[in-house]
Amino acid sequence: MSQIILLSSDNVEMKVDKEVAERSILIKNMLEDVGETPDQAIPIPNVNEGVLRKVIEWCEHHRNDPPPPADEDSDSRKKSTDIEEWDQKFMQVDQEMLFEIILAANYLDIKPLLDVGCKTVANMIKGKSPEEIRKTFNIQNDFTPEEEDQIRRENEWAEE
Amino acid sequence: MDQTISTSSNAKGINDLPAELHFEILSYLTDNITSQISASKVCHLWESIILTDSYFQLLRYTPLQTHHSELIAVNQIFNLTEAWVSRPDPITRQPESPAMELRCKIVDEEVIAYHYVPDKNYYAYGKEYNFGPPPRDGEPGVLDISRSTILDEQCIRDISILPIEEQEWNEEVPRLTAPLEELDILTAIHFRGEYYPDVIFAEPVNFLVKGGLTIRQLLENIVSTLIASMKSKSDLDTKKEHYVYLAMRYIREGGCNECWFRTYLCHPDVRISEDGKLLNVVIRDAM
Repeated sequence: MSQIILLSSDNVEMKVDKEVAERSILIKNMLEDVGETPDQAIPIPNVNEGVLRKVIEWCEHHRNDPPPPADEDSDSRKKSTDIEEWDQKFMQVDQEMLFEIILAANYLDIKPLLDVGCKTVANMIKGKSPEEIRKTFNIQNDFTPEEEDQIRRENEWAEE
Repeated sequence: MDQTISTSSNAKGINDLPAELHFEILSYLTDNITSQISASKVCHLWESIILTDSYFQLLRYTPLQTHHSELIAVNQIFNLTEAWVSRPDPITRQPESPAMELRCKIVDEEVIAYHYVPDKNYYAYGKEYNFGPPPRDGEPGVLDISRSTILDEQCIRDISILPIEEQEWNEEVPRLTAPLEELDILTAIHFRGEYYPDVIFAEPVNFLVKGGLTIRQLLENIVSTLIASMKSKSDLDTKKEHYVYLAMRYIREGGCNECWFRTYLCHPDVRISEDGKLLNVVIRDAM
């Protein structure tokens, strides 16, 4: 089986089966453009070693997945946040890695991995109040005091 | 100050994602109105994605199943579903309190705030099932939606006016040729005192929901009708603060069906003439 070499942003080379690397549409298209399997390492400038290893781990596990149906979105309007067990375990990482994986999946164009990442975040949003969500993701509350005025007056009343 | 710390390190977080990935993430909340409302109050970006994006707006409408197939779609905010799957409490024999509530805070006959009280199990999502009481006023569980534009969305939409891409999805669905003009919705109202759960007045009221009527308008109508009715029937001190709890159910001729109750607000009987014109839409009390 032919292998290719990927070069992470921090200059670490990784040998990967071509079939595995081609789960990334970006790499697949790149290889198709080149024509034959390149001897030189393919630079992945936006992804560091740790994240790239994680992404390759996912691609290895899902190397034989059938392609998603073309009209996936049309038969169900509302997306499910169900995640298969292996992917759930795979996504049990700290938040920094989680968002690195999402960014890498987006950059490398690995739609199923991006979906799993987004579902994981959506599941972290569900069941939380706005303030809990902000705390969880370190999101700045950018509503002006006027916009929040109503809420505060409400709470003041309730505290009496 | 917190921000300078987080930007000085290279640690990636949700704030590093481009807007389209925020969109992607939030699109997984379209099946759950409570998550949407909660997330829309997190920051401006999420608010604008959830409340003003037409894709999100569209998915807030659940098509009602009629025997004429799907013609009319109702805003998810009325999916107070579990509310009327009233499994009686085994001890008190009382029906469980509605799972999710829309609540209007009223002072001097004016609605001064709109609250959305999530399903009491909402905050137990991913945790053990929790039979605790619903959040009380002032507890973090209550979401103030007074300023939310979700209240300015239509109660009901005729899905024949959905955008093109959605029409393709609904290709097999027959179209209404006449505009949806009116739809009756039976609305059960619990008027309670300041302290939950003292119901001081409860009465189901019928409302005519005209096409184009916004949720805010409907709620205001309900509240003013209710206050008028209360003043004639009880010694209500309108100067005091009160809450109106709105729990809505849909009804259907010939008995109620739990499955429908789980999914839909109301079950209209839509009558269409032979040439495809909408004659009328009737909902009758199933009770």
